[in-house]
Amino acid sequence: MNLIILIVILLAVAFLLRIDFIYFIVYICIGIYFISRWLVPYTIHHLQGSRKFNSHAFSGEAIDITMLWENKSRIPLPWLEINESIPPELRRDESTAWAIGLGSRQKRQLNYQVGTGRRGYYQIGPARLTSGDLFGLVRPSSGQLAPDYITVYPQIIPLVELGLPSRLPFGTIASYQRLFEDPARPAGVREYRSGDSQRQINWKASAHANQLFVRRYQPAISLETAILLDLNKDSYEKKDWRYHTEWAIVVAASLAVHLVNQRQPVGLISNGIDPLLRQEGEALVFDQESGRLLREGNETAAASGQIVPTLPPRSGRAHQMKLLETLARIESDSTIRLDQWAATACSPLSWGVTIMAITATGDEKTCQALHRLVRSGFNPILIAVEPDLQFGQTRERARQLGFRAYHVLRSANLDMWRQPQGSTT
Amino acid sequence: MVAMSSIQEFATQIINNVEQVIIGKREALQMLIVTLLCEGHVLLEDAPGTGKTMLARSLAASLGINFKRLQCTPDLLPNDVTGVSVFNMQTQSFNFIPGPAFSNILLADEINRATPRTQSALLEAMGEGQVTVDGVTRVLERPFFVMATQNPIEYEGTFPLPEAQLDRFFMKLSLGYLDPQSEGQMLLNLGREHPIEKLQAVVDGHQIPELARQVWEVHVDDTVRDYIVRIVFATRDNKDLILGASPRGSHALYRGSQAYAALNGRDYILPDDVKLLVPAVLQHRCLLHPESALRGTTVSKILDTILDEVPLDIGEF
Amino acid sequence: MTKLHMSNLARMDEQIDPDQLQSLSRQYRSGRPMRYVVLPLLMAIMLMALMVSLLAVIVEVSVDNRWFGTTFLLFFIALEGIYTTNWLNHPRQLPLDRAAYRAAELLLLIILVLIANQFIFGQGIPEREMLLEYLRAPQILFLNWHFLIMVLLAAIIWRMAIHLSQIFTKLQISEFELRYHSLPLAQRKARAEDQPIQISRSELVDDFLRFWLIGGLLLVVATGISTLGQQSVEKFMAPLASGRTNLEPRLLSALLLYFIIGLWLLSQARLMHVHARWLLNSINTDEDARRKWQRTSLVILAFVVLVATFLPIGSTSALSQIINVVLFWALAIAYFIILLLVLPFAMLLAFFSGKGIEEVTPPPPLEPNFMQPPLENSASQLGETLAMVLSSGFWTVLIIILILALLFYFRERGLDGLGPVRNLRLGERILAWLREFWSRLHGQVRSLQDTLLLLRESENSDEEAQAGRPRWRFLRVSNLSPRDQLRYFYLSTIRRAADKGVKREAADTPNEYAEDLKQSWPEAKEGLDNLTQAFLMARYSDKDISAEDLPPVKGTWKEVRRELNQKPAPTEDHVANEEEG
Repeated sequence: MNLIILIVILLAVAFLLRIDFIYFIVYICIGIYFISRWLVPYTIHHLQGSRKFNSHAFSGEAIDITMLWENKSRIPLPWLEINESIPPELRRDESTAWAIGLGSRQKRQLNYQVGTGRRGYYQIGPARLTSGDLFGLVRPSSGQLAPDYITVYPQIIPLVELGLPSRLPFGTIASYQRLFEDPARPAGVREYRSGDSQRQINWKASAHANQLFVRRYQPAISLETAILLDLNKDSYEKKDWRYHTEWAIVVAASLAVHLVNQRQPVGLISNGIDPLLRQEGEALVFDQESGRLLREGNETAAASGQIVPTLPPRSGRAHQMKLLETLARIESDSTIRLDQWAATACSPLSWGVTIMAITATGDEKTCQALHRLVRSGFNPILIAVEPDLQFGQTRERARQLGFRAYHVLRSANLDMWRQPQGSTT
Repeated sequence: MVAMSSIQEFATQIINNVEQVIIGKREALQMLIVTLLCEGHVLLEDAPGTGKTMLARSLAASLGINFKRLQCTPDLLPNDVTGVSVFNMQTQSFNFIPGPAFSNILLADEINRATPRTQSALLEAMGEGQVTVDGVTRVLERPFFVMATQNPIEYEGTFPLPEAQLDRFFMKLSLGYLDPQSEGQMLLNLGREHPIEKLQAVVDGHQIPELARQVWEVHVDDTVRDYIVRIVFATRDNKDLILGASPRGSHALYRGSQAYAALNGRDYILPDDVKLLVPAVLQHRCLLHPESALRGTTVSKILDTILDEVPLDIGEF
Repeated sequence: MTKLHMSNLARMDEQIDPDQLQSLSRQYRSGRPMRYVVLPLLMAIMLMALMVSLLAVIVEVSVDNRWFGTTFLLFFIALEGIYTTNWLNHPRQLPLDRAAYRAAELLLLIILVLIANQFIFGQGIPEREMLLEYLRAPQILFLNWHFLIMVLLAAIIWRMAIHLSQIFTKLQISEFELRYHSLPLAQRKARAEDQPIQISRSELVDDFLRFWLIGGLLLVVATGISTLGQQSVEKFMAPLASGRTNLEPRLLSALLLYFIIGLWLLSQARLMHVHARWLLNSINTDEDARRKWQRTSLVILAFVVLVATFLPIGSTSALSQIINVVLFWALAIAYFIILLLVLPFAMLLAFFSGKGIEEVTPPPPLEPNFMQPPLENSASQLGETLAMVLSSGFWTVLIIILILALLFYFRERGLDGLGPVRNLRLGERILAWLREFWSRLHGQVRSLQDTLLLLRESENSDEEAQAGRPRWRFLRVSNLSPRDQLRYFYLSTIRRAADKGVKREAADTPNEYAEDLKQSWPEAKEGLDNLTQAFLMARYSDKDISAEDLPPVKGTWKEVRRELNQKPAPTEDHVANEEEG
C-alpha cells in the first residue's frame, strides 16, 4: 500500500510540474505490468506435465521416476518452481523440488528416485507448480500436476526359507474318478466299442491284430489353489497383531508368486480390508507418517463394504499382479472370524481345490472349520504364523481331521525359539 | 522396380478385395501380406469375435487358394493335424488321409488349447514345410501359410505356447476391436448375404513363392542393416528381458522390411519400415523377466524405449 | 561473534565437498562479471542520473554550467562506495573496524573533492602565491560554497551508493549460506545451530523499490524545478535547446536511464530473492537459469521501451490544472480548519494580554539567491605568527591523518608493498581469460571449417583420391556427385533447423523428423516433404541419380532455407535430461 501511495505521489508531482515525459515512463511501467500479468498465467495454462515410472515395485527397491514437462505455447516461461510431494516412507535424502525455465515449445525431463520400504499403496505427488513474473509486480501463479500412485508389493520369500515343502500337492494329480482323460498320458489300448470316436482308433495295433483297437489314457484332474488369508485382528495376539498379520501377508504373497511361477491357477480369499474400495466420490486418505493408503472411517468393515473381494483361481502374470496388488494394499481389522466365514467364502470354489488357510494359530474352532472344508471336497492346508509352543498338538489334531498343518515363523521368531529352547519348531 | 510394382499391385488388389469383408484393418492386412511374401506364419492373439476366421477365409478367397480351419481342443491329436494312415482291411494296406496341414492357408484356432504334442506337430510342419507320418515324409504344397490364434492370457487357456516356440511365428498381431465408425460400416455391409460369399479371387496365390524370391532383390543399405542389428542387440542387453530376440528375429525383421518396402512399391528399405515392423516381429520373441512384469513393464514398452534410444545414422557432412 | 563466524566457517570447510560448493555457487550466485562489473556500473549510472537532476537545479539557480563537470567525480565516488561496500561485506573483512574504515574513506573522498573543486571551479594547480595563501589560511580552501556543496553532493551520492550496494549485497547469497547448504542434508540437520540467520529478502526488495520510487520522486521534482524558468520561454524561440517535452536532452536521458535501469535492477533483486529462496528450500535449479532470467527481462524491457517510443506523449497541462485546483482547495480547507482551531486561543491570549490580534503579514516573496562569491581571502585578525602556527598545525595534523587514512585504506585492501605483485596476479588472470577466450574463438572457427569440409569421399571422387589430393578440402557443392548433393541439401537444412532450435533426435528417422519440422514451419510443409523424400532416395536406394534430377530439389532446398531463415524459430526446442540424486 505504501508503495502504491508513493507511485501516486510521484505521478501527481510529475503531472503538477508539467513533465510530459512522465507519460513515457508510465507506458513502460504499465507495459511491463500487463506483460507480467498476462504472460505467466498464459504459459502455465499451456504447460503439460506427466510422470513416467513403474507403478509397481517390490519392497526394498528403488523406483526411477521421470517427470516430463512441455511448454506448449510460443511464449517462454522464465521460471517454474516444481515441488513434488513424496510420502515419508518413500522419501530419500534428495530434494524433489526444482526450478526450471522452459523455452517456447521446449520439453524438459526431470529424474529422481524414490525408495520403497513397507508394502502399500502410495501417492506420488501432487506436484505443486509456482511461477511468477521477472519484476515481482504480480502475484505468483500456481498450478498442480495430479498425483499418481505406486503399489509396493509385499516381501517375497522363497518357499524353502519359509519352511514349507516345495512339493505341495498342486497341479495335475491322479484322480480316482474317471471324469477326464489326459491325452498326454497314454495307458494302452482296448477293443473298439460302438460309440468310440474314429480318431481314437489305433490303426497300427488294429492292423496288427486285424481287429479295431482304440487308445486309452490315464484319467486326471487339474487342481486349483486358493489362499485363505485370515486378517481378522481378533484372531491374533493383542500386542503383536500388526507384526503377525504382516507376516501372514508376506507368506500369502510368497505362496502366490511360487504357485503362479509353477503355472498353477491360484486365487485369494481374505477377510481383510482393501482401503482402495471406497464410496464413490470420496477422497483417498493417506497416513501422515508413512504416506500409505489408510482405511478411512470408523464403520465396521462389512458396513463400509471394504472387505477384499474374492479373486478366483487363475493363472498367468496378469493375475499374479492382481494378487500382489491386493496383498500390497490389504489391511487387517476386526472383521469376521475364520471359523464363521471359511465355509461361505469357499463355497463358490470348484471341487478339489487346495485351500491354503493362513491364520494365527490352529485352535479348535479353526481346525473344525478346516475339517468341514475337507468334508466339502476341498483339500485344506493349515499354515499358522504365530509362535505356538503346542503346535505339535495342532499338527496331530489336523492329521486326525484329514488335513496337514505347517508352522511358518519369521526368522526372528525362530531365533528367539532356538536360543532359549535349543530346538527348532 | 518393375518387380516391386507388381508386388505392390498384388498386395493392393488383395487388400482392396478383403476390405469388402474386413473393414478398418488395413494395417493388419498389410502385415499379413508381408508375412505371406516372406513365407512365414502369423500368430493372432485376440478376444473372440474379432474376425480372425473371416480374415483368413477372405484372404484365401482373394488368393484363390484352398483354406482349412482347425479347431484346437485338448483332445486334438498330432495325426489330426498332419494326417493319418488308415488301414484298409479289404486291400490290406494303409491309405494316407492328409490332414489340414495339407492346405495353402490353415487357420489353427485357439492353438493354446491343444496339447504340447499336437502343437509341436503343427509347429514342425510350419518350420520345415513337410510332415512325416509313419516314417514317410511328405512335402507340403507352397504357399503354406498358418494363421494360429491364441486367447489373451486373461482368458482361460490350458497350454499357452512356450516362449521358445513362439519364435517360429514370423509375426504376432492383434486385430482388436473396430472403432465405432468401422463397426457401423460393418453392420451396414451385412445384408441377407454375407459379403464373404460374394468374394472372388483377384490374384493367383500360387505366385507367392515367385514374389517371395523377388522380395530378396529389395536393396538394404548398410546403415539400415546395422540399425536392425543394433535394435536386436539392444533387446538382448536389456535388463528387463530374460531373453532378447534371436537371430531368427533379426532375419525376420530384415525380410519383413524388404517385403514391406516392396508392398509400398519401393525397391529399397527405409528405417521407418524397420521401426514399423519391430513390434509385430520382435514382441513375441522377447521374454520378460517375471519381476519386471510385476512392476508393470511390458515388452511393448521396452521396444518403444529401444526404438527411442537406438540412434540412426543418417550421415553427415 | 565475528570469531565465532570465522571458526564456524573453518569447521564447515572441512566437511564441504568442493565440487558441490562450486556447483551451488554457479547455480545460485551471480557470476563475477555481474557482481563486480555490471551491477556496480548500473547502480552507479542510476545514481548519477538522479544526481544530474540535482546538478541541473544547481545550474538553474547559479547559472553556472561548470557544475556538470562534477559528474565524473560523483560517478567515481558512487562506484567507490559500491565496491567498498561489496568488499567490506566479504567474510574475510569481518574482523575489520568498519567505522574506522569508513571514516578513512570519507576523509579521502573529501580530499578528492577538494582537488576536483580546484580543477573545476578554481585555477587548477595553484600558483606559488595562492599556495602560500592556502598554507597561511586553510579556511580559504575549505570554506567556499563550491567546495561545501560538492562535499554535500558527494556525501549524498556516497551514502546512496552504500545503501543500494548493501541491499544487493544482502540479497546475494552469502558465503555462510552457501557453505551451509553445500553440506549433506544429514550434516545440516546435525549442525542446525550453525544455520545462518534468515534474512528477509522480500523486505530488501521492497526497500529497493521504495528507494527507487523516492529517488524517482526526487528526480521528477528536481527536473520540474530545473525547467521552471524554461516554461515561461516560448518553445519556438529555442527549439534545439529543449527536448521534445521541453526538457534538456541531459535530463531526458537521466529520467530514462534512472527508470529503466531501476526496472532492470528490480528484476535482478527479484532474481536474487527467488534464488535465495530456492537455495534455502533445497530446490535444484539450472546453472543457466540466471542468464535466461536476465536475458528475458532485458528482452521484455527492450520490447516495452520500443513500443512506448511509438506511443504519443500527451500533455500534462490538463492534469496539472486539475491537481492544482485540488491542491488549492485541499490547502484552503486545511488553512480554514487550522484557523478555526487556532483562533479561539489567539482571542483568549489577546483578551488577557490586552493586545489585539496582530495582522499576519505575508512573508516576503522568495528571490533567487545566486551563489555568493568566495569569501575574501584575508589574513586573520590575529597576529601573523599565530596564524602561521595554527595553519601549520592544521596542515600537519591533516597530512598525518591523510597519510594514516591512505595507508589504512590501501593496506586493508591488500595493496601495500606487495601491490605490484598482486597486480601482476591480476594481470595473469586477465591473460588467462584472454587465452581462454581465444581458444574458444579458435575452436568455433575450426568447427565452422569442419562443417564446410567434406568428410567423406563420394564414390565418384576416386580419381581425385588416387591423384593424392588431401582428404580435407573446402566444400564446393557443385563438385559433389548428384547423390551427395541431394544428401547435402537435406543435411545442411537439418543443421540449419537445429541451429534454430528444432534439433533431430538421434533415434528419429528423417520422416519422423520431418513431422517436427513441419510443425515449426508449416508454410514449408511441401518443400520439407519433397526434400526428405529426395534425401531418402539418395541415402537408402541404389538407384542411379542423374544431374537432371537435381534442379527441382535444389529449388526446393533454397525455398526451405529461405523459410527457415525468415521465420523466427521457437527458442530452445529440445529435450534436456537432468540427472538427480
